[in-house]
Amino acid sequence: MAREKGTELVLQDSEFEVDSDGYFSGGVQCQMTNIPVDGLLVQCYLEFSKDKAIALISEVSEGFLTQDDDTIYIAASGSLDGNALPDTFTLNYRLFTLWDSVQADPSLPSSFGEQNISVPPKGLLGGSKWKCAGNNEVLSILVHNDNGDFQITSNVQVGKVAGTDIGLVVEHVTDDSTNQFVIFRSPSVSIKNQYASGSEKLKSHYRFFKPQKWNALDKLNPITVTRS
Amino acid sequence: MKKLNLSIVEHHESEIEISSDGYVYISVEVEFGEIPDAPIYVETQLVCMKDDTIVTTSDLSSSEIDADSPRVYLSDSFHAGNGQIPDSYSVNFRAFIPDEVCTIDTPIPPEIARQSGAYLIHTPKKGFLSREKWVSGAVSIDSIVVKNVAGEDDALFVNVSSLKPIETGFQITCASGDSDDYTIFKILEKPQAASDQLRVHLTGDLTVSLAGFSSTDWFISEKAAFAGTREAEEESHGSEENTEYESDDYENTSDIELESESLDEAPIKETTSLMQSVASDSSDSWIVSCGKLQNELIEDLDMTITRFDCEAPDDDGDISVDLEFEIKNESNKDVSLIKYDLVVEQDGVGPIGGQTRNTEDCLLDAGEVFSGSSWLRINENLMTTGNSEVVVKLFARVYEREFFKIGSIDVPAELNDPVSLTKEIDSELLDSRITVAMMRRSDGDEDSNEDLLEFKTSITNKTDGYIEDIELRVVLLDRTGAEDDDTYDSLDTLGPHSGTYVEPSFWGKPKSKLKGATVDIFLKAHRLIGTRVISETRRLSG
Repeated sequence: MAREKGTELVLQDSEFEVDSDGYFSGGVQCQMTNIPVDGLLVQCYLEFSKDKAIALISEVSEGFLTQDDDTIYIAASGSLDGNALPDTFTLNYRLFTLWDSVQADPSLPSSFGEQNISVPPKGLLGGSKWKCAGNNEVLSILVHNDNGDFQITSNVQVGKVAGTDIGLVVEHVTDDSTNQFVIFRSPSVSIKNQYASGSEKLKSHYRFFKPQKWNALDKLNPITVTRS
Repeated sequence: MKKLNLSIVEHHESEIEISSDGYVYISVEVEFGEIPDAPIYVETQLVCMKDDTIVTTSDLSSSEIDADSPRVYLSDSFHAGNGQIPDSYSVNFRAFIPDEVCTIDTPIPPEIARQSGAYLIHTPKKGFLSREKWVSGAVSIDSIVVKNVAGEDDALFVNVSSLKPIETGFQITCASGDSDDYTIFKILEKPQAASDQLRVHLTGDLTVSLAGFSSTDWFISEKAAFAGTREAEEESHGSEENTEYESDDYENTSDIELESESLDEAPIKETTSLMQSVASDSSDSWIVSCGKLQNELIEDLDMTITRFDCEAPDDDGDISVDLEFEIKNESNKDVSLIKYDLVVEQDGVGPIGGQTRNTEDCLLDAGEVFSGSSWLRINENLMTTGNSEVVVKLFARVYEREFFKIGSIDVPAELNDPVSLTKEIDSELLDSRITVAMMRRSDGDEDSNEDLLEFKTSITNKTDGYIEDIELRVVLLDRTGAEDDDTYDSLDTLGPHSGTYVEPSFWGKPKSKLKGATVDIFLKAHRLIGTRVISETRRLSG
């Protein structure tokens, strides 16, 4: 069990198998508890060992966890059998916690096929109102009227990216709400063609998340591998 | 962070194509300068602006560059409204510089059956005080997992770690006997990673090498203006109104532009063939294919006939002719395909024999020579009596190749459950968005133990020139990653601004073989980069 300011990552279930051709596969399901209202981004991967020698590292799984959607599944597979069949696994993870956010009211295209571009409004001193902590900034929002619904592209620039990732959750609220997350390492990013249902009003909410350190959850969990 | 004075020194092709549905396709080619002696990797991102406002940013991509290949191609697409077509761009980039390579001699497990454990996890040896280090820069190898099975399905992968993920990358090579393999460059996105699987036939000592790479900080290039904008549909009808070319990169084709103007002032964007010189008796002539995207096509290509032998006529009057020739690539491009035709003529008669539609795959680096041969039979009764002189004409066409790994798809476990893979490719020839749809169906009745896999994709030529020998190849890998089968569908020619559809398939695949299987999908296409004609008078003797 891992704890990060009240949040807890709990290992729920794990299942692994190896088939007659030596193909090892399976995964682990985890639940996050006490998730803050704004949600959390999480990255996880599995480290498998055989007699304490590393046998396999899985790909990274990442998810935007909220109070309504609080589980993440981490899959692993590889050509492993016999002397290399893992006997333990360790779940490695890191959380991205909320850094700061930007609220935007992009202008809406009134006719079908039209696309509007909105740029940051300026404050009294000339600064951008779509800029937040870490010099992270929403630079433009393109809203396309696609037969009455919206396709939204957001262009974002971050202040400092060297050697780290940034998490971003973009939520568009009309009569419904849609969100999309991205974890990126580049100075700029476009979140393209995000859908939002047609409406007279659109509120766009950009939440920037800062990565924490990588941690290991319950090191060297014994593993049960079934043979199929 | 490593320090390196890497910079973009020249902007080459930069173009925007606007489709009728409002989507904008952007392509840019930039050249890096001050590249170190050893090849490095650059991670790049294209940022496009309209009136200084960013309107789109591409995904990241990695490319290898060195002093001989300093250019990187970037592309992006997005939906643009009125007044939102980008007018300038910049490039975000950082370099990954190689550290000293670490080479490891790896013991090979005994060759035994898969299930009984033909695997070995090889780890650094423990010393008295500390463990052996397998390190290249900030990247270290934690273990090497080797699988040695009967036959040639041996494989290995490497588990690596880095204290500086995101800032480090790695590449693995391995060799055993005459067999070797390598992984593509990969950036470590987390503290640990497993390499892709390397396939190697274990016949001798196994050596594994790790090349670690350390990144520089990010750089942002100065803003540059786009050289041209064009409407995709109008361009295909030959309109010039929306085409503007201002890039300095077109200066080196000025001689061709002059020739084009003399040919009814044909615009440079249209594909034009020019014959520079033709002599009467023994002549060489250059024919240069000149298109909008083919503005550097004057290739230094040396071709000579090195052997011309024939035999005396047989009882039927047939004369057997053997001919050999060489083509030397003196250009700076790789030649990947050569097509040639041979025609033999005689004065007063015309053509008396030939051999056509010859195709040879090759990979000619600068300075390398291709040796070709041709054999044909001429009947003496077609020739003028008493005249043994013939004119031998050899027409050669050389091509460069674009090759892409589209990606991998897991074979669906269920029948009739379509899956698809979409990949953005950096192509100068084809539309950048390639989608491959895959369907698994029963191959026979419901009780059949065999299935078929069908693949479908559409391919669009976005250029003003012809694309030739397009091939979509699919490799089927079983659940262990071993290659099981491959198939392809191909097309000889695809005209300018046209599209087509290819559909390779696997038939009669046992269900057991498809369990946990994946497919790797590859696409290649060829572009004509120059032609060469030799016309020589020879005497049939012997």
